[in-house]
Amino acid sequence: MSFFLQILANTLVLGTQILMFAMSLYLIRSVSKIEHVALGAIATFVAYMFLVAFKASGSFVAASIYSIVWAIFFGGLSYYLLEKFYKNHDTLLGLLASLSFGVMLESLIAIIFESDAKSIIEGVLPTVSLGLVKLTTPGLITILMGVVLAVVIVFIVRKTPYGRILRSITENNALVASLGVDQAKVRMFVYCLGCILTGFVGVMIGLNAAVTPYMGFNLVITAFIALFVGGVTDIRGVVVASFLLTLIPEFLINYSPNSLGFSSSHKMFFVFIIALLIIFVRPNGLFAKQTRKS
Amino acid sequence: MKKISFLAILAITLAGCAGTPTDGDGTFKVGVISPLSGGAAQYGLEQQRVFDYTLDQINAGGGYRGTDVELVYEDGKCSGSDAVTAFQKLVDIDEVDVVTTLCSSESLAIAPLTESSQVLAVSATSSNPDIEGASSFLYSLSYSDDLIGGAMLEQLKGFKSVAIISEQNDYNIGLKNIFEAALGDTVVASEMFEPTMTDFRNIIEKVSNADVEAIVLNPFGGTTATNLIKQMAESAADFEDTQLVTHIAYLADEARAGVADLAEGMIIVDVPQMTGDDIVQFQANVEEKHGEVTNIGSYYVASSHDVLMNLVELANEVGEDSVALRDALVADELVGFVAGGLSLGTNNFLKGVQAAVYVVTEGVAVMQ
Repeated sequence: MSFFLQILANTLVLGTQILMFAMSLYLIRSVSKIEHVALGAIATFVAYMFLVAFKASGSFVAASIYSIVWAIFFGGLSYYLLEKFYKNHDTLLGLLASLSFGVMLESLIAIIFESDAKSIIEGVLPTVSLGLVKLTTPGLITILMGVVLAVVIVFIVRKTPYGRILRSITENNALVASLGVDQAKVRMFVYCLGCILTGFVGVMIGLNAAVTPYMGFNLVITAFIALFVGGVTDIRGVVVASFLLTLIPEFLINYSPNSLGFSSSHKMFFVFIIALLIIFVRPNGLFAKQTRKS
Repeated sequence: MKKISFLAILAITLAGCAGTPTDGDGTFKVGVISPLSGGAAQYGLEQQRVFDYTLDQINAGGGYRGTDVELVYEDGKCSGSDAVTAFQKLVDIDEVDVVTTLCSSESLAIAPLTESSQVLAVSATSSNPDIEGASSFLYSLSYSDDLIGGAMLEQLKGFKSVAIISEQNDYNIGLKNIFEAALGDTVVASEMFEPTMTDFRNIIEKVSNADVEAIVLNPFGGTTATNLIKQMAESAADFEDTQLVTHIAYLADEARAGVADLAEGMIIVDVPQMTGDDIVQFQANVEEKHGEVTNIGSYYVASSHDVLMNLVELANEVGEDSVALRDALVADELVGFVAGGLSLGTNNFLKGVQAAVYVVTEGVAVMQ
């Protein structure tokens, strides 16, 4: 039982990371129709900036402020990079621009910081015991913050006027404009929010394990799959898919007999199998309602 | 007519560009493929310090027939595909005469190319057993992993259950295969992880849950190895009665920094630290002039020196022709700290090296 719970706890940390990436992708897609896959590289860069500031100052607060400034900078940069594609309805080109920017940024990180893993905290991390399981302090903070942010964002998106505006921007542009909403400002805000959320994940990965130039790529790929498997228009589906795509592969790997030879390096194999299965069964998203065909 | 002239010019140009590595231009260039970035970069950078120091010695002594020997570095990143690209650039663009590699992944990837292009490659450090017989132009002055694997197996004898945690690359997979083949059902858990992985906690939990008597820690080394043992130390109590058995990845004290309790009693198998006055002085000189070389260990400091020394000695003897160099390499008695007095003969590896066992005692790896 303790094994099950410990694997669950460890995997919830990863699941929360994926969830925050997927929610950021969801929010940005809601206002721009563009999948901003460069978020993976942006999160990585923000984590490296935290590392630099922390090594220089020794202060978590100073490093946090410094990394938030970088996240906001990248939010603004993302807006200026992708706004043109939104206005021209070139969402595919927007995705390509985002992908190119992300790859360029990752390479830049590798050039500046070299590609070996770097720990933000030296030495063994403190752990917190919660009954039968233990978590590192950064791991616990990731889960708690992830749950709180997920609840708040789902609530805002589904239950508040601001959420309705977010969902309406790409669906009924003219109506939203008639309400006097400055859509460009909303988009800029959402880009910054997405970069802060994913930057936070990047920093927590760095605190919990280590930072590497390419760490954001696998996360954003899984989050991207979760976004489409869960349903791009329903944030509840995104939340559930994020956890399904992390929990099921981990449990399959950890509970499979040794003779099958499955290990952590086969995780993406299971992620894609699960994604395929869900897409076949629920092609419109996990919580999509049946629509009548005309 | 114009078309024929154009083709003729193109052919002449291409012929001019395609200088062979054995074109006898009176200089001797050594291409070095090693990880200068990535997780194994510390090994590549340390070997570079040894090469640079040895090169100064060689050139001070007359170099190659009175001209300075040149080293041309390319980043192989410990990756087969990068090594192949590096090899092609070194041979086709830089026109090196011989090549040296560091990682087994690099050596095995370029093995077919050395054969087809007849360019001699000699590694100081590649140890995957598959190098034996891989190419008649690829050699290593390292010991084979069979030696280390065999010595580690000796240490694992008597344990009823063993778990293995391995990094996914040619070097570590080679060792893992040796353990699994020899230990059979005694291996109750064998976990692999990708070189880019940084969070090992589920792997550690699975191995802990297997409740084994011994764990083989089989990462490549560097920051990955340090992260793995750091995360194991978060659950140090779970491994109190478990014997940890490992290799060079944890030989340097820095690799075990901060995890003294967990590492105490750890068995490390590697070749003996070289304690002769000459190699100790050599290593000290390298460190004084270029910086630390502790991670690659004294054997690889010595074998790196030996690779360069032997290649230049042989070139001075037979010239730059790759086939003649290869023939001399396998036939002649070699020189150097570890290769001195030995010869490769029909083998691709240097034979006669013995393994050594170290036990971490009060934070220090002590040779038994």
